[in-house]
Amino acid sequence: MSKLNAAILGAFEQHRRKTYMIGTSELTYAELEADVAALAAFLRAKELAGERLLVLTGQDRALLTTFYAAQLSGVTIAILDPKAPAAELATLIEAAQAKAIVADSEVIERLDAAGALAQIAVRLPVGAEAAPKKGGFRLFGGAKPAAATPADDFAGTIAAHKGAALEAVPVDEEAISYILFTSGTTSRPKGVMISHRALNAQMCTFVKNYGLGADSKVMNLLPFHHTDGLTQGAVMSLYAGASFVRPYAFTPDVLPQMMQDLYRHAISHLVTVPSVLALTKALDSSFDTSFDYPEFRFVISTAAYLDPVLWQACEARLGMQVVNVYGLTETVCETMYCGPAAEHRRLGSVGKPIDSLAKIVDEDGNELGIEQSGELLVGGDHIMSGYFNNPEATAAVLQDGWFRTGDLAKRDAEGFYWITGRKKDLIISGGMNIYPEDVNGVLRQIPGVLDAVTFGLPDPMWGERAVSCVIVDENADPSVETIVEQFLQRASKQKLPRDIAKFESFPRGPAGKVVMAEIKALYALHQGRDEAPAGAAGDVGAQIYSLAARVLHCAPDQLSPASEAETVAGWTSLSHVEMMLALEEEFGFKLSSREIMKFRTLGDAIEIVRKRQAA
Amino acid sequence: MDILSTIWLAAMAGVTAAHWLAPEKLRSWVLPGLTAALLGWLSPLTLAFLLLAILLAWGSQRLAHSGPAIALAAMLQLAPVIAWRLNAQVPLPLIEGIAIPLGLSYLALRGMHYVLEAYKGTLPRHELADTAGYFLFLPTITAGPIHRFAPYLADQRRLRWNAALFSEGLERILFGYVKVTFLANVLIDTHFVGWIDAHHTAQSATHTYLTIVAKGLNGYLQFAGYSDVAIGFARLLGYRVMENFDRPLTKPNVQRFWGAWHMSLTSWCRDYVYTPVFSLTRARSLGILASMAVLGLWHEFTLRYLAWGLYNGAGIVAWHQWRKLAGERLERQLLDKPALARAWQVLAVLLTVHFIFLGFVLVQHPSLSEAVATWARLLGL
Repeated sequence: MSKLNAAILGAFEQHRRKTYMIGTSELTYAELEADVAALAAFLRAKELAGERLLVLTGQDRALLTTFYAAQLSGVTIAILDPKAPAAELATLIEAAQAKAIVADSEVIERLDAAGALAQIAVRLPVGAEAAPKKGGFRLFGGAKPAAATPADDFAGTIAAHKGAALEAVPVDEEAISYILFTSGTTSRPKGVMISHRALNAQMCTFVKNYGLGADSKVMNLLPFHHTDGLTQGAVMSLYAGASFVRPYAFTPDVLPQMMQDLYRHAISHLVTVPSVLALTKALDSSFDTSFDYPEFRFVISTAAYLDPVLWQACEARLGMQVVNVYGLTETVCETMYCGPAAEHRRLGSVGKPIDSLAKIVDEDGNELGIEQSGELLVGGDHIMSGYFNNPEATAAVLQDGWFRTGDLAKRDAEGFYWITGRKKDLIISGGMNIYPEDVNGVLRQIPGVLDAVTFGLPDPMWGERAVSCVIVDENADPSVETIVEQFLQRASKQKLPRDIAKFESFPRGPAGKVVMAEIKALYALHQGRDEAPAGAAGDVGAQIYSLAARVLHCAPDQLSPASEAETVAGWTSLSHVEMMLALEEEFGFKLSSREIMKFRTLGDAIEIVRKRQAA
Repeated sequence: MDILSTIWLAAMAGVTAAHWLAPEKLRSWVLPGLTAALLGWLSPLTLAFLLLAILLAWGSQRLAHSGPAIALAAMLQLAPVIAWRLNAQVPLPLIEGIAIPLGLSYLALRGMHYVLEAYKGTLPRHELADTAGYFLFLPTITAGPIHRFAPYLADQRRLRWNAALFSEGLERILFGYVKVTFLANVLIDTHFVGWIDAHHTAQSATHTYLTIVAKGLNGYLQFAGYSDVAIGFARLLGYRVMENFDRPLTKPNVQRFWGAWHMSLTSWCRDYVYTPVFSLTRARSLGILASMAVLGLWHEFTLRYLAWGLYNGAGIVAWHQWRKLAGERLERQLLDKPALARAWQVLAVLLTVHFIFLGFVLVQHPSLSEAVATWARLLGL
């Protein structure tokens, strides 16, 4: 039996009476175990071991039941985004070569209509989730009879096999646990294959490094078709016998609710992405104490570059620690950790590898020394087995047991790693990976679009934002609105570029390749007027930090928007006066009483100056 | 409604039980509702002023863009307490002979805080019910701490049963009662004072000195005990209210002392007196003196309280001067002499405590001349 399956069985055995997931309703380990046992019995009966099973559902309980039942039955599970358009899903479904599917009923209907499910015989539609039981009195009559479920849907199948003993078939460590697709909307998809060995290794590292235990409560609202939502949430909680809190999916409007629910559920670990941390800046001061309770341990920031200024500002304002982690779908989830241990923490870095190897190499594969920037290679038990049915893509990144991350990094003298750039063509926007070639492929399919080039630009909110430049057929001349509309019919919303600009031609080099630097410059020129204020606003921050550093006798990089008298040693009431006078002199205006009363932190100063400049 | 009264004990137990036994949907209404009912029964006038303050606060929030409207609203929040403070000196029509409503001076400061934060635009988005809940918060109504709106709202929104917080609350209440009843009333006020009277001639310098120390310690323990009970009661209800004391008698200078004594009042004065005065005049000493004068007058509209405030304000200003002229240099020189530095630290704490306790003399006597006479006795005059 694989170690992963032993761990799953062990968790069910040990924690029966505990809550596993707090979702729209509560799910105990015992309830999950019963469902998993039933579905595993079904999968065994269908002889699906070694085959692939697709999962496309927005219902967490069904998804997790399928995930664990598949592991115990030796079935490989491929999780896709149920909200993606049929055209995009069809490509991925074809690539996955699955024998079975568990999906929301409407998704199955939608895919069937598009002819995407022709090869798949075993189908388990997931019906709408039963409303959670309500407390209180029912005055008239008993409970309403549950709607009759056809025996061959997901719930019916579980019911039909209820009471089956929990069993695990022999599964090899190298058997593939799951496949997650990282790209391939139109071109050949890359399905990352994670073995039982790799997943188990990563889970053990998580439990150890995050100090997870049966008392832990993990909140993670990231989607399950991403490794950050799945492994660094649901699966790692099961490994620790912990509870997993996920009452809703993340959208910007649930942020206040999420912050209040931290204390309400006594969350110990919050797993999130830098964009969510950036959004907290907009919350009012009543949220400052959101993390202030003894059970809370730290925030884990994953999936994208965490700006050190944002990092520091969040920690100072919200009084918590952010553990920045680095990894890829190909390394299960993470491979380096900046914290929580002090010896692994250096602000701005991605920390150090834990249970994994790392080296930095030049173009020729020669290992580089300290402070030299090159491509980051990582190795260890948690590395993927390869891309499914794609030996060329696999060979390009897996060499001699090392995985080429495509990220540029350097290591400092104390062994901390710093990400310095990106070699591969990838845009990370709000924690979502966007491959420019994918976006271009979709754009080129749109009638009237002749060619497309997509690139990433720095973005204060999302880390990066994707921008596409297109050449359109003069006769058809589709509007940008039409292109957007057509795009959304073919690919998911996350891949939609933030801006689409129409060009007459692209600057090309001698070999006919588009010159990226030139097209970016042309685009900037195009957008010139819109871009200017953002740059100017950024300067206000820098100007105020250097001014404050002068007055307070400290280094500008020690300062953040949250800096105030209580957190900066040199900031006394006297230097507060000097700060105000210096601000007035530097920006050439007199602070009003209201502004002076408001000015407590450097963030306040930045806001005051920006408002003045805008007015 | 003294915390030592049976009514207060019954109210704490009853309100806590009702609060947690109520269905979750109704819970946010239980505390304000019971607070209003209790005050309506004990002192309808208090309830009337509270309701007025709530409506005035809510209205001012709507008019926050207008400076004059805010100034008027802030003055109106302050008006009742000014009226009663004046009334204590010169009887005023309408309110002559009517006892001051419960916790009116605290209500005024909370009201001003709310109105001025509305003006600054820092109030979190909220409903009228939240404003009412903030003002009708039983634990702090009669004797502080002067808690702030934003943290109140945060706790209100994420309220849940928390056994650890509840047990902390019980502990704080116990500490509070021990401070007030045993340490202050029995140990200091009865035994220590009794010992002073038995062993030292009345009016002698030693007797005077020890009496000043006893009164200082007694004052601290009483007030810190009251705050403990309020903070503990709030915790029983699932709220964390700001601290009011941070071991003030161990601070090495007057500035630090006032940052640790009645902190909810001193931070109020910093935000709403010091900062505006300073912003208008750009003179720090003036800001400090104004804050401390307001702090004194907030207790009572009398010359002795004004003198007490200015005495402490002058102390802080003098400390800043001393620090600039010699203190900083001295501290630097002591950096590599740990034994001397420790001795200096002890001396500084003793000096600070004595400065503060001697200042209390100003308000421990009905008139300034008696206070001066007490100081003179210390010197054997």
